[in-house]
Amino acid sequence: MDSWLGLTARVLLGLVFVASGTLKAAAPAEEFALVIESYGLVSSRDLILVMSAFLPWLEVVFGYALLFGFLTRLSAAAIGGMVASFATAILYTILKGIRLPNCGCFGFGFTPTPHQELAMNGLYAVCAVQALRRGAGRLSLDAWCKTGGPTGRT
Amino acid sequence: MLPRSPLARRLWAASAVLLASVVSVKALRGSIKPYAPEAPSYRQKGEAGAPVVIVEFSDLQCPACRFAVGPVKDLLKLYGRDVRLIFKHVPLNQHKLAVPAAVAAECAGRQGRFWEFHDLAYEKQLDWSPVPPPGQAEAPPPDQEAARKAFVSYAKKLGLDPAAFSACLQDPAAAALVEKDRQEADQRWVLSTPTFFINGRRLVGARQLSEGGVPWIDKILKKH
Repeated sequence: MDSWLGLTARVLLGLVFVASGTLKAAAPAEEFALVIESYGLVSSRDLILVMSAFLPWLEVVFGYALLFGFLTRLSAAAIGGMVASFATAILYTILKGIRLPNCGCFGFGFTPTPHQELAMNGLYAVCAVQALRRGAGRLSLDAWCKTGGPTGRT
Repeated sequence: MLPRSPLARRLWAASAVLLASVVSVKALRGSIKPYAPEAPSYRQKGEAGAPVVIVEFSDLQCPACRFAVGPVKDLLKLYGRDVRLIFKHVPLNQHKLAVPAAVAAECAGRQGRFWEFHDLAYEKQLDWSPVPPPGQAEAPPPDQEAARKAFVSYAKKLGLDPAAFSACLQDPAAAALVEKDRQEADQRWVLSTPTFFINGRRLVGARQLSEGGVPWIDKILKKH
């Protein structure tokens, strides 16, 4: 039961991050840079451009790593860190009364409200904690690397 | 065929994760076709052979586009004959008065006053485009008729033929030009307004234009 819970958590969270990261990474970086600007948390233009170029790729790579169960705990921790920082940024805009044209969460395909996004981040955090606690479990590349078969357990 | 040692398997797994990432992003990104911007002559400013071409994708109802009017004018003033500006309409779906405003600007363009109408529509944007009342998140529903009257009054103020202007507002050819620009924006992955292409380089929003426009144009002119 525990291993199925871990598997469900990492697959769900992995899919969410693969989708959100891919939508942003495929779009021009300047578009995501505009979204980062609108949060008002980072003022350096160079840093904004670096973030807009690399952050979506981090989401995609760690999303796939979690989905496939590769370096599962590290990936879950990285994604948990991203979830915490996204939630903090959204909370900041709510407290400051900043109206975002687009939260930038899923590129430009889906634009939830800040409160919806906070609730979704809470759900992602629960999944990240589950994946972190339970590790790779069944049907993972980590298990395959250790025991020699894709259905093995760690 | 699959590797047997743990290290080789880890390397194989890492490669699979990276490959999946690159393939999914590349597949979604597709390809962007080479760009030869075209627009009616009344939507172009500056010398035809200018070494710097700024293509602006804007929405007349978008507040962020209104804030970009000043920086664009500053660039035109700073670089004079070296710069040509081409305006493209991108009426965003959430702006219900953006298409009528773009059509009205086209109609002003037919009478040779596109840029004057463009400036006036942005200057008076808060009059014809409803904004949320203080303390409320939602704007009142758009009033198409009030907006139409406002555009006709701007046309009169600019000395345009009011009958021709009003007839043009119903002309499908004017709306078709706006739609053509919108399709071009989709092909170019223009997702936000205002988006600028300065000799192909994308800058999104007034801030990116203000901070990145001058260094980029200087670089182009240095090479020219």
